[in-house]
Formats: sequence, C-alpha cells, structure tokens
Amino acid sequence: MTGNIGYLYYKDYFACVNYQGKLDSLKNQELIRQKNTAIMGARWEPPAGLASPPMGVQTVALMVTPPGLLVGSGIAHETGINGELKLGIYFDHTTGWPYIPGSSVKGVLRSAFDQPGYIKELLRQIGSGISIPDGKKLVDFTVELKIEIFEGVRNGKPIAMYERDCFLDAHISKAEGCILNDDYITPHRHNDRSKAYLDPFVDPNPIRFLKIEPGVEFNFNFLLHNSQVLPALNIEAKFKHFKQIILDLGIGAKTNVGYGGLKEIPPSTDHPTGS
Amino acid sequence: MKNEVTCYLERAENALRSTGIVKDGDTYEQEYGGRIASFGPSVILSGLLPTVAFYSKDEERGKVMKAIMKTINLDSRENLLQYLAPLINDKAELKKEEERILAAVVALKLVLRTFRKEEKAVQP
Repeated sequence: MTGNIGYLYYKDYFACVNYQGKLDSLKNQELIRQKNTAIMGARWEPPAGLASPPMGVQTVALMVTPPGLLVGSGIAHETGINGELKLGIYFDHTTGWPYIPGSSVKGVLRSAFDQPGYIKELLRQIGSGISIPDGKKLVDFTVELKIEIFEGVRNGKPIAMYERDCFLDAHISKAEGCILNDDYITPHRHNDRSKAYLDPFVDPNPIRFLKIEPGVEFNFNFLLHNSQVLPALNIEAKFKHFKQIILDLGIGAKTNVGYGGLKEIPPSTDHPTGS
Repeated sequence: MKNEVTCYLERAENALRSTGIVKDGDTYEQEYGGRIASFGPSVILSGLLPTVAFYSKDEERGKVMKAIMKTINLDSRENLLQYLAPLINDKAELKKEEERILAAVVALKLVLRTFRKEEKAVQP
C-alpha cells in the first residue's frame, strides 16, 4: 500500500471525528474502526533507494519476538471513543513506517551500565576474557566507561564530537505480511498506592494499543570508536557487547511482560562492518 | 507570539496556583512538567482538537486544561473541547485559537519552572 501510516495514525485518525455532542457516538466509533482496519492492514514496502549502510557504520539486523514491540507508548492518543487505539507509537516522519529512535537504543544500552555486575560478566563472556584493569573498583570503572561512551567525557575532559559513539535510529529492513496489529494490556492497580496489596482485586482496565508484529526485522546502526578507558574494548568488541545488551534487555515499553524482545537472524543477513 | 506569551505570564502563575498544580509551598509534582511540556508536541503531531480531547480524558490532564482556560480567560466556559468544536469548519479562526492556546501553554511551562519540583518516593 502507498501512503504514510504515521500520518494516518496521528493526523488523519481523528480528522473526521465529530467533536460536537457525544464523543463516543456510534458514528465516531465506525470512523475509528475503519481507520484501525487500514492501519493494521498495512504491508511494509522497502523505501525507494534503500542502500547498504555507509562506510564506518556498524549494523546488525534483529528480529522482533512474540508478543511484539511497542515504542512510543508515551505519546497521547486516547480521546475516549470506544475501539480506538489508545497508546502512541513512533513513526518515521518521512516514510511513515515504525522505527526505533536512536535515543531509545542509547537509553537501553546506558541502563545496562547501571548494573556493574552484568557489565563485568558481559565483558568476560562476550569480550573473550576482557577484565577490569587492576587497581580499579568495578563500580567506579563501570561509571567511567559509561561516562566515556554515553556522556562523551574522558578523564574529566569532553571528547570531540567526531570521536564519540553515535547511536542511530533503527529502521525496518525486512517484513512479511502486515507489520502492525492490536493487542491489549489490562492493568489492575488500585488508585491509592498505599493500598497496593489490593491490586489483585481491582477490576482490570483493558487498554487497546498498536504494536509491531513479531517477525519484523530492524537494522540497528552504530558509529563506534575504540574505547580509551578500556583499550581492549575496540569497535568490534563494543559492537558485540551492545548487540548482546539489546538482546538481553529488549527495547521499548512493557519489557517486563514480554514485549520488546529481539533475536538474532542467521549471519547471512548481517551487513559486514563498514570499517 | 512572543508578545502573547509575555502577556500571559502573570495569568499563567495565577492559573497554576488556582488549579492546584502548584501547591501552597510553591512546589509542584514533577509529572505536571511533562504533561504541560507534551501539550505542544501533541498539537503539532495530532492537531488541536484531538489534543484537547486527549487532555480532557483524565483528572490530572484535566487540570492542565483548566489552567490553559484560565490563562486565556476562558474559565467561564465549562469545556474547552465544546468551545473549539464549532470552529472545526472555520480554519482561520481555529488557527488563531491554536496560536493563543500554544502561547498560553508556553507561558505555563515557563512559569512552572520558577517553582520547585517535588521529589516523589518511588512507589512499588
């Protein structure tokens, strides 16, 4: 199909809704139902002119696992019309296809560095025995590494922009069939958090939302540089570590209930590193 | 728009206090910062009427709507959505209202930053 799904989901979704009178009228519900059908029937087409990543960009293709992926749920999308999709999702402005912002990728990777034990184990396993330098405490070293990679500060001095690691947006590289579908989450939390023990007895509140279907492949792209805080962590090692962190932690919202999981695709679909 | 924002600053402060977003001790819950800040991007993304509908849906965002209405002297109206709905066929008038509302939101955001953010304990 041609057309911009992002435009349909945000600008056009509520365009013909009648705001005068009752918002949750049958006519409005029918309009929303038609929009939902169009959105969930969208089949991905590769954007024209899609080329291999440029030199210097490290790329890996990862596939969404069941139940799916949800990024951008914080964007408001609920008016109260019955049957509407209530949560937001990120769409690329130009192509209209869902994507994962580089800021989300960077955030997931940064959050892993708040767990020094995990980073140490990762360096040991993935890095073929890379270990913390002698004389340094694990926690302090992890913070130093985190600041170098994510804040661009080394030994108290800022790193030049062209020497800093870049975390680029992840775009769809392959998808078969429809890429978007609806799902429900049903939180049941007591309004008074001091009575959180009553949560299991509260009526569930079903929230219908749009998710990216399992099986969709995303290309994650990085522009990496060798670390000077840990010289053994060169570009290739960093790339492997970042890939493993994304595979371990997932990305997007609702990762605690299974969304946002990713898995590797057979090596033939990986692009060679550009460096 | 800059002149409008300046004109709205004083009314924005009164609106924040009267709606209860800013409490007696000149503090505010940090969630309100996000709610006010995301109003503008939501208007750009989805349009004015859908955004007003989103913000009319729940109690906390409803306070933000009330603050906007007080800032632009529409607090005599019951509901901003019902005030704007008839303008849907008059694009020029709707555009003017959009600019007025966005200026009010900018004023609210700027004034809110002059108060202290309340740090909440992490809830289970």
